[in-house]
Amino acid sequence: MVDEPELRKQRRFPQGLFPKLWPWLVVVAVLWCGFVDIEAWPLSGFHLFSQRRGPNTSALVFEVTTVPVDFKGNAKPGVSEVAQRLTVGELDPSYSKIGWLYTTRDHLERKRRCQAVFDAVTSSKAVLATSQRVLEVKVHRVSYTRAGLDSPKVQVKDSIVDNCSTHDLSSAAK
Amino acid sequence: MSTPEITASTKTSLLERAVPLGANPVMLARTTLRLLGAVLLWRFAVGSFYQTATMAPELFHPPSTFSWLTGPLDPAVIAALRTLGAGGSCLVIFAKRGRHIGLVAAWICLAVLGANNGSFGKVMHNEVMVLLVVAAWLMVPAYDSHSTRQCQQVEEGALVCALRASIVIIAMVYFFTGYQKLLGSGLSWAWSDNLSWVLHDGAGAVGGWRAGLAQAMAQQDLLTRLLASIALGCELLFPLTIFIRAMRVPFALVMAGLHLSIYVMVGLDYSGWALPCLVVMGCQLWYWPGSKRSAAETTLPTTA
Repeated sequence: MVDEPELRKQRRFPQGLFPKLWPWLVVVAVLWCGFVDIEAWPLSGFHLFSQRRGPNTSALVFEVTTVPVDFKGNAKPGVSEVAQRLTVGELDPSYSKIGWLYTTRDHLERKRRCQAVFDAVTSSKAVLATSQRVLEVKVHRVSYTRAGLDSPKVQVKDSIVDNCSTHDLSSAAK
Repeated sequence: MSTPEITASTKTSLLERAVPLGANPVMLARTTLRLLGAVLLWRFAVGSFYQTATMAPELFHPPSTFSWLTGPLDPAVIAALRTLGAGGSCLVIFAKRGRHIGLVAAWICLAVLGANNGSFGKVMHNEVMVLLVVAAWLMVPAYDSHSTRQCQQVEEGALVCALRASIVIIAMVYFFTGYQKLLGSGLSWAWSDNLSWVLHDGAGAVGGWRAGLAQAMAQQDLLTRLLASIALGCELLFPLTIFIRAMRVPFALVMAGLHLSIYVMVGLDYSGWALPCLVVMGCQLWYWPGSKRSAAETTLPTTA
């Protein structure tokens, strides 16, 4: 015989099978994200795994956000929040297979990817004045069709914040 | 009449055989849960949650599930979430009453703080392992000693299931990190100068004797290749720990060593990965069959 207070306690928590089932639902979610579709991971911003599945895209377009700096290279107070954003250029379609620019633990590959961006950035001569520090390089995946560029539809964004650093970009500019 | 009992017994034994636990899985699970509470408390105490405080608002891109965040969290809100999460963690560690709500609150706080940290484009998966492991325990009810035996059996069953699921989650998350490396880079991830490059890169982030150590390691080509191969091999073989108890502690120690070396030489804090792994896998050692503690507790009633 279960008394009324005890019944109230029982109602507070899920009973029966569900508490035993729940942990295995989490396991299924992990397996599904790992094998089937990592992109669908509900906490996608956390980048569950070090390398995500490569995109089915044909090109990467990137833009660089810069911020004015003082002579020491520090961001000028109050200016960083109005960062200038420039569309700098487009990578050669042969880079389509590189997929994500930043989200990889293969640092050699990352270095190559970053270098591709550096080359494009420096060749554009659009940024890297001595008074500006690169705050961010943002990469967009763009869809192509057989007829050519089909109204660049930005699907996913990724960005480089500090590993493709100011120092690297500055030295590339020199 | 006996058919349901036979079926239930068979199911239990299959699960027990698939993910074997110690002599007293309920006590093992209770201890593990308290230690996971300590891991949560550690993350709230040492986690770098204020990185977004100085970022430009236009760079803020939260993950889809947190798209309702309109901008980086205010430092005061971050402090409040840390405090709330730490309080919840303390309930998990020290209290029987309120343990469940404490765990849910701590998990939500850490998820929001992690999402805030991961909203400025950089790869931020420092909290992923602890969030996933703790997620398995979120539905474990907490009954006190005055509850009916039926209630306590529900709790004990859920505790043991959560412990088994935690072992599987840790094993599979490590496996997928290795699997994705193979997909993305192939064996050259390990057998190339990849790790050497990582260490050269990381030396600039740490400084002092740690930078010297990283540079010295980076120059040992064969050693870095071997270490990277061991790391990749352990990640790919980690699912074996689901089935073989004896492998859990050694694998956990190897991965803890890996995360510690990353912290020392590259400066990245992955205690949110190493500690849950050590807690869940390391408790197996604490309750190893034949140990005094294990022997003393085998007389307690168990339900799996």
